[in-house]
Amino acid sequence: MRILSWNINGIRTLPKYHPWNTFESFQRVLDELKADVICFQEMKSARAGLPRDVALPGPYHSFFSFPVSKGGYSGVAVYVDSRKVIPLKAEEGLSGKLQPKPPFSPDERISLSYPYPHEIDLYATEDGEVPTSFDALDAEGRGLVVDFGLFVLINVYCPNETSEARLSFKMNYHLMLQERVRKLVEEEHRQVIVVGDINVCASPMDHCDGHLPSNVATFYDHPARAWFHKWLSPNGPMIDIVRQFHPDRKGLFTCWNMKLQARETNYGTRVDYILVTKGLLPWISHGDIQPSLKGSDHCPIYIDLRDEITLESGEILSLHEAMKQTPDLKEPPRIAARFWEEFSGKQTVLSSFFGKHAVSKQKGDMPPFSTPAPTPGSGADRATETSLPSPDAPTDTPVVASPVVTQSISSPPPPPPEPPKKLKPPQITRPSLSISSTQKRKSSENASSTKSKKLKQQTKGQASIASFFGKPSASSSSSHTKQSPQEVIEIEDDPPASTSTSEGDRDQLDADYRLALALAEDAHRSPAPASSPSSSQAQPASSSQNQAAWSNLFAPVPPPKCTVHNEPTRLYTVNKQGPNKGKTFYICARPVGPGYDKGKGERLRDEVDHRYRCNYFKWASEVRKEAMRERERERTK
Amino acid sequence: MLEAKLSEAAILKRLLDAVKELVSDANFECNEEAITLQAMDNSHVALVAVKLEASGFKRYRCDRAIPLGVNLGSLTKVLKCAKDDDILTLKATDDADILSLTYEAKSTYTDRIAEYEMKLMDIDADTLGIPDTEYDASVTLPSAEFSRIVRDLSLLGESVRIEVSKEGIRFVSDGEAANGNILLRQSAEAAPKKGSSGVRIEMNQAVTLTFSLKYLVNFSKSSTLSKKVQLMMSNDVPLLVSYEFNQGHIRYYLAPKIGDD
Repeated sequence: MRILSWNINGIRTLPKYHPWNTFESFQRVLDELKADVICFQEMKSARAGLPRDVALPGPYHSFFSFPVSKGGYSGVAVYVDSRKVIPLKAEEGLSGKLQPKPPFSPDERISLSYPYPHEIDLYATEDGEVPTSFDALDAEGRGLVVDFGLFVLINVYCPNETSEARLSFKMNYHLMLQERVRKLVEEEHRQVIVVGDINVCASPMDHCDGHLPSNVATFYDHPARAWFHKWLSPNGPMIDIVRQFHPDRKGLFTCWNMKLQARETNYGTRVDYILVTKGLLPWISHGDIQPSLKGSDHCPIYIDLRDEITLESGEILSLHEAMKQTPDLKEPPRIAARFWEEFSGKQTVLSSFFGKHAVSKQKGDMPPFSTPAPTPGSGADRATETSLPSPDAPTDTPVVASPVVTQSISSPPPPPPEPPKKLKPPQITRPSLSISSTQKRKSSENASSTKSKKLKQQTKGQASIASFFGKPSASSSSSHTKQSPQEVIEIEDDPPASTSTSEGDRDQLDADYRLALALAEDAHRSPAPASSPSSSQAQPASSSQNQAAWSNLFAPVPPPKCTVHNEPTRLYTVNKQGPNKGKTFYICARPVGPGYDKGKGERLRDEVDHRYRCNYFKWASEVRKEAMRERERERTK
Repeated sequence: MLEAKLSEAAILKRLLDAVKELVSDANFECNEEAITLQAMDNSHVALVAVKLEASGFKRYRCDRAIPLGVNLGSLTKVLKCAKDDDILTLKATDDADILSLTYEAKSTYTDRIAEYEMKLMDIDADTLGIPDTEYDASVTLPSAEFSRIVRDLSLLGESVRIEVSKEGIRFVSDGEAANGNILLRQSAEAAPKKGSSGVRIEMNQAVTLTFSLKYLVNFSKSSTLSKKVQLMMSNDVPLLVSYEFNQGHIRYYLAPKIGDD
């Protein structure tokens, strides 16, 4: 049996990534993970916004915890393949205070006693007060506790320290988790598996910059790292099982900063863990990370449990038995999503009345799995992916193969270079839900019409300077140095435009750049544009020369070279809110890596590794200005 | 191409008000006889069907059937720019990537002609085949009355049980904290006359069905289109809520809730 944990960074975005976008239902995504117990963190959804097939994916029993107040953030989920195992009990939150309606009976509760705030030394919050309840800690949808008989599984998304003010919250959450586990282990003599995003690096080895001398010395100074260090074996009860299977493996990372493209160079951290208590060790055969699975800034981690073990007495104990999977155990615990009011079958759906054939419940509302792949990949390529036989679910695969694969082959998504159609929200491409689906609009004529839409859109908005110059002015520009006086007058209109460009007016620049391109293209196609009457008099040679001058003037500025590597830099745009939003800048194009130059304040000079990104930074507007000055100088020479 | 002239923009404005709550995008199917729209809400519980008859337009011309894929939010915005009594002309070419709307003021003081264009989109919508149903009960009541009932009951609970019997039509809602029921009896003198404004009940057998109130509240927004609303019900069949007006109709279908008791 496999237990998998993955911080998916949004249940709505995951299905947009390859290979998940090739599956027509969320159940197939879960199938593809090939695990029997799947724990997700950072669902970033709310109960109301959960698509039906995500909430009830076929044979999987599902359990969710979402933030009490605002949704779209945090949130954890546990999916259990009911064909393999059925949990005995399940609870939302760690404190035992989050209760369904009506409240749990004592039999439904996992523990007899839950952590009490006054029994542990909690950190004082920002306002200087020590919390007297766990309500706030449990209100963000960070924990699910599921009882599997043999062990209690705790799926957590521990808080990230986004600001100084959240440190106490983060630490208090850790302490609550630790206390909950302690009570289970010491008072109830249970085995525990804690899985999820702990948001702490366990050792210097688990951090991309951990080996740097300046970090090694102070690594455990952070209270969260100190706490984790003490909680983990050998100092504490919890065994970091994935590390135990790979004690010396470097780069065993589960999380990467996507903004830095840190995944390319495996410049990451290990913040996702599977922690087990000692009694479970005989059961666990293997554990690892799955860095090849994309779709989130984290990667999945998993452990495999043996189907049976031999006890010291020589007796063979099966996992099935140890997990107390009795034949009369059929229904999941009460907080399973299938018992939610909206899914309990009280509300019927129209298609069951109006369709020719009734549609199965799970197909009710599909998320847009059919959105085109962002990554290039041929349809055939994808089809093989989809039809990969999954050894864990052999019964289902043949059925999958027919509808899904044919669909993905017969209608391959548009090739990646084609720009997405602006107005078309992906939700609309729903798999044909029922009856007479009108497909007439998918014709090829339609494709051309959308293209024409695009063209029209481009010409709208800010008028480009090109439209004022147009074809005749191209010829007038040919008179740049020596032509009839009549045309010189036109040139006198030009200077203001060019001065304004050197002042770096961005809109103007864009328009000018387009003009330059248009001119260059014209020059390419017909050296002397015959369309204008005046150009017929102009000498072809001089006109093309001048066009070259123009296009040179308006040509895009090549990226500057960084100071350390002397390599072309890369252009980025500021997305952060603030006065600089939308501005563009250049930084070193090399990937980040251990010891990359973060700047003098953050990286000791002797720890800088120049194989990775250097500290080059320049605003694009400055680069532009410099280039303009340079060209001006060359021209006047 | 399509060219359709409505003597009052208000009709379309009011239609949109009700539909946009249920669906965000929909195809207006235009053909020689009518403009129709059929769309189902995301949860597949409610369906709206609109029909604007060609004869209801001041002028109507549609050479060839075309679907107009409309984002209803955008159309609502464009329609906000029209005065209720403006003469509205809809135009679209056969390739249907732009819908143009022209508003002509009727006022004698100003001779204003406003032209708007909005982009259309491709929508793959499934049209459900709605079967012709013989309903066991049909209740016609003033639309304002219906709006009031569902609004009042929606304050108490999530669902309403509608019971049609010889006694009349009863709306029952059981909330967590309070419950309530409203009985409408057949208006005595209204029974024979179809055109009157009272409550009229035709019934083959008693019907009891439960529905989600939030949808009914949405439907009742259409009361601006018609003074009367007709509720058609049979046991275990979706409810039909129909508003008829001069130019056509708007009909809602709502799947019942089952279980509970």
